[in-house]
Amino acid sequence: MLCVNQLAFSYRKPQKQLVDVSLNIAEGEILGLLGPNGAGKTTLVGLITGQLTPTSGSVHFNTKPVYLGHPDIALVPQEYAFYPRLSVRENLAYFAGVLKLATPQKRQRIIHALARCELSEVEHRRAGQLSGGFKRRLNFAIALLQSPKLLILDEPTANVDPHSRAFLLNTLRELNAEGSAIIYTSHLLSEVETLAHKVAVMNEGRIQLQGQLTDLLSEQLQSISLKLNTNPSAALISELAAQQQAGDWWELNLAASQLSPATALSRLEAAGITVQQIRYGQRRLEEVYLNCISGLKEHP
Amino acid sequence: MSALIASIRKETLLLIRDWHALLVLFLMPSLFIVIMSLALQEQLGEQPALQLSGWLQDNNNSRASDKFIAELDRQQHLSFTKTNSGQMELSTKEQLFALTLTADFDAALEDPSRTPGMTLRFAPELAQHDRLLINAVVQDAFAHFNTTEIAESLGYDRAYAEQQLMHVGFIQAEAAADGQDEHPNAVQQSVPAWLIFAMFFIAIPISTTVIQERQQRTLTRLRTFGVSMGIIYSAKLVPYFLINQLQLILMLALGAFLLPLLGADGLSLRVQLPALFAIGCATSAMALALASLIAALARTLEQATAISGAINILLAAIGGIMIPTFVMPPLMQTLAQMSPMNWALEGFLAVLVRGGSWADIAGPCTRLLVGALILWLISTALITRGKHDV
Repeated sequence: MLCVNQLAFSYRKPQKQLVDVSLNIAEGEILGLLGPNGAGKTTLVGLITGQLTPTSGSVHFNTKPVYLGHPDIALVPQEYAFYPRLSVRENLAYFAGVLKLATPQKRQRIIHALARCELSEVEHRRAGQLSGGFKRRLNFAIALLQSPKLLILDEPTANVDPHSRAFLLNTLRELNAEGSAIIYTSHLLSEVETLAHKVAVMNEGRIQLQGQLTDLLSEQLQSISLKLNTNPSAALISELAAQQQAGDWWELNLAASQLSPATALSRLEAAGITVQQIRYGQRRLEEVYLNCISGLKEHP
Repeated sequence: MSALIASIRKETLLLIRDWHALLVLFLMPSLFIVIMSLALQEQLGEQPALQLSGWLQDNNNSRASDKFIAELDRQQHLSFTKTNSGQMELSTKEQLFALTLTADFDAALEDPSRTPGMTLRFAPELAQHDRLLINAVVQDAFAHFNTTEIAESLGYDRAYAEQQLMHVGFIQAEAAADGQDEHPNAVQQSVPAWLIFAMFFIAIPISTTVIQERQQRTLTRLRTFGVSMGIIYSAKLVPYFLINQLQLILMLALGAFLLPLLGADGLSLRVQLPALFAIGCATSAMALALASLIAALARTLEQATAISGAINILLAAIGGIMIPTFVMPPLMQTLAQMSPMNWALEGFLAVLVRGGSWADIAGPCTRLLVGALILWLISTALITRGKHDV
């Protein structure tokens, strides 16, 4: 669906540039785009949406070069990109109004966006008076007016309460299930981990690491966290290279013990210890990310 | 087209909900017009005839002195307090001069070489130009009196004396043919001046709106919706152009109908209204172009507000908005011609004060439109250059 091929871009400032960026996103795929501030994520988004023209390389959407204002590509900026002095409905009506659609279609999309983002109860309130959560929903709802095939979200859950965050993530999953591809940039790695199929880590204008999330996590798997009904013996702790965490939680260092997860679990079972909960890979993306950013290129 | 209409509607809604902007655009100039019209009424209004007061003592009490005093009473510039006392105190606050007809007044008429017929004393602090004026008025009255006396002695009347002997009316003071020397009164100066000032103040709401959109990335979002920069900016200019025209109508109405109720002179609207509208449109084009340039230059709201305010006040100060150009020294008058606000003011004054028509506003309108075009080109170049800043 989206094919970014050996993309390069240079600002007037020589230290700000994008070098040899390539990635692909298939229909119905979610890409988590990670990287520290200044890594080049916003520039890449600018190139994908056609706001910027690459110095070399190409961006194709459904085999055709992208252009600014592509009807199938929508952007949700991190900022509240709407008008605080207009009501929710007026904002939606305005952004729908600038689309090249027939009036009934525009109306339909406004109704759909209001319903999908559960904004009907506040549709007549000024956008500037909404809570942070509703502002995020409105910011998101405006992008839905385009009925996009590719949705690009830049930190969409920044400063959002847990309820609204869960709502947005669920809505993204629904959209994805309906076939929309999504590029999702966030600093909350746990969000990306629960949402994304693919991950790309950018740093200093380059993609340092990319791949399917499951592949990256299994390759990088070094530990597993377990909640046990009782403490293991000292010998077992040594064999499993286990370390007690908060409460009944234990972290098993698989790299040190040279055991696979399945073997470690069978040893515990054999010792009569019941595993009540398993956290597998939950903190791993953070680990992979930090290793990558700090220069430990585990997956060049 | 629907994008343009939707954008114009949006901009209009944003503007009418911005109370701060509306106060700056409408209330501020209205207050300025009222205050400045009333404050400058005496300085720029119709001047009452100059009248200087002094003592008059007649020590002759003859038929001739009575006739001369009657002649003095006919003129308009001196007023007399007649007295028989020798004590005639003079000061610049009350009696400025003392005119005494000597006891030999009638005799001196027969033989002027013998003795003066009158003496004239001035208050010590009295300015030289006032002394000259008083002297000239007394001389003029005496010339009338004496010539009439001679004419009558020859059997002619006063009319003959004035027309044939004195040639009254030989010099006629006239206004310049093009009316260029006509100065506006306080209302004619204040209404267009503060109207122009207010029209240029649209730079603040326009530039702050653009910067807010840029900072909030609403402009970026609009671009991804396929809206061109041309539509985005055109949509901003249409409501503000209409606001400028509304300012024009309201400020003129204020001058014509409200100010007379407050005791000021009323603004006459018996003028070439199409010409007035044309200079209003040209002023608006210049104001909008300047606003676009500021919006393109400024990166933050603070910059936009400071630049807009400073430029407007500077252009107003040198352009004859705050101080009329005709009271400025020549160098400042030359400098004033560099301000677009001065071009606009010249156009408005041509119509409102001198009853000018299309030909009279062609110069100011051309300067405003050419200036607007240049600023447009610069701001378009800046906006195009800045489009790479994501």
